[in-house]
Amino acid sequence: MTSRRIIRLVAVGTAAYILFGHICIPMRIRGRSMLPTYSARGVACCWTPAYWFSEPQRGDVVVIRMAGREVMMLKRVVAVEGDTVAFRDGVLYVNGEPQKEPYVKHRSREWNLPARKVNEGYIYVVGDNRGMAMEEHVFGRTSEKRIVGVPLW
Amino acid sequence: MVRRKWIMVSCVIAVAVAGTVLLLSKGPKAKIRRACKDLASRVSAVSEGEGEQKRALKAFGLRKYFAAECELALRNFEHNGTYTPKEIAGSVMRMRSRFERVEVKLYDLSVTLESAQRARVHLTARVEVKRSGGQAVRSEARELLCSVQKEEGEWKFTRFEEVAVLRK
Repeated sequence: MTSRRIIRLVAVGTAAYILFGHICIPMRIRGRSMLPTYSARGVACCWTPAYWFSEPQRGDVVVIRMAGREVMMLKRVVAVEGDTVAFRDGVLYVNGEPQKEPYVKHRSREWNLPARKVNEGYIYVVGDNRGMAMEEHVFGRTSEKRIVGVPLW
Repeated sequence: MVRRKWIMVSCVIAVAVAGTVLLLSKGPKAKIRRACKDLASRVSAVSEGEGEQKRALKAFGLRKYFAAECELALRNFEHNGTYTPKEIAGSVMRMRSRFERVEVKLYDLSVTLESAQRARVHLTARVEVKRSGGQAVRSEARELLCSVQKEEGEWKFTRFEEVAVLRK
């Protein structure tokens, strides 16, 4: 094996590590909280440069890390810092206005949550499957620093 | 000549890597990591139809991973409180008997040494359970901060606290 070939192999390995380990991270989706936008089992890629030069907006689907990047959550941003969020009879209210959410196909009228403000540096995320019991559905405020990126598809 | 040079370089790299791995695997952080992984594997009952005897033995062995008093502070968990290793082993055994399959996996484990005797472990734990006689599988992931302390040369858990990733 020539030195040139070794250098080429190392370069390809490094490029693959940077691309798939840090820029376009492959993910396996498990869980029904984002139904029907994302099926309970599937595959996606997390695109990390998405918020390098911009802030998350309402309606964006984001990938949120837990202790690290091995287990992450896929949720939709429904409110950003300074907004007030509430649920009444299954309808999302942001700053007192009911929101039209075309991506929500299953909705339970049991979702009720008093209004709460999203602090600075935080976002409010919820899954698209509102047919689940509210207690079972993991959602809420989280730090913007926890956003890893967006799903590529 | 060129080939010999590459062989020498490969040998030096291999020795350096082996030395680093050996050094790291004997340090306190490696021991704590091993304790975490052992604990997860003892709580798990992956092989369906695991015998009562094996189950009891595994649960009995759990005691050595906990300090005389271990505190649980998890969200939406009705059994939070302080427990002895015996109580924890008993609870795990009862919990496992209710499920056909229990699998605990730890991810993104990072250890911070606070002193020679104390450390904190930050990790994501995923628990997957399958009910006895049922097909339903439930899977839940939680971010945890665990406190460990060294007692008689062994690292033992003193506290499990859940980190709130999302707050309603």
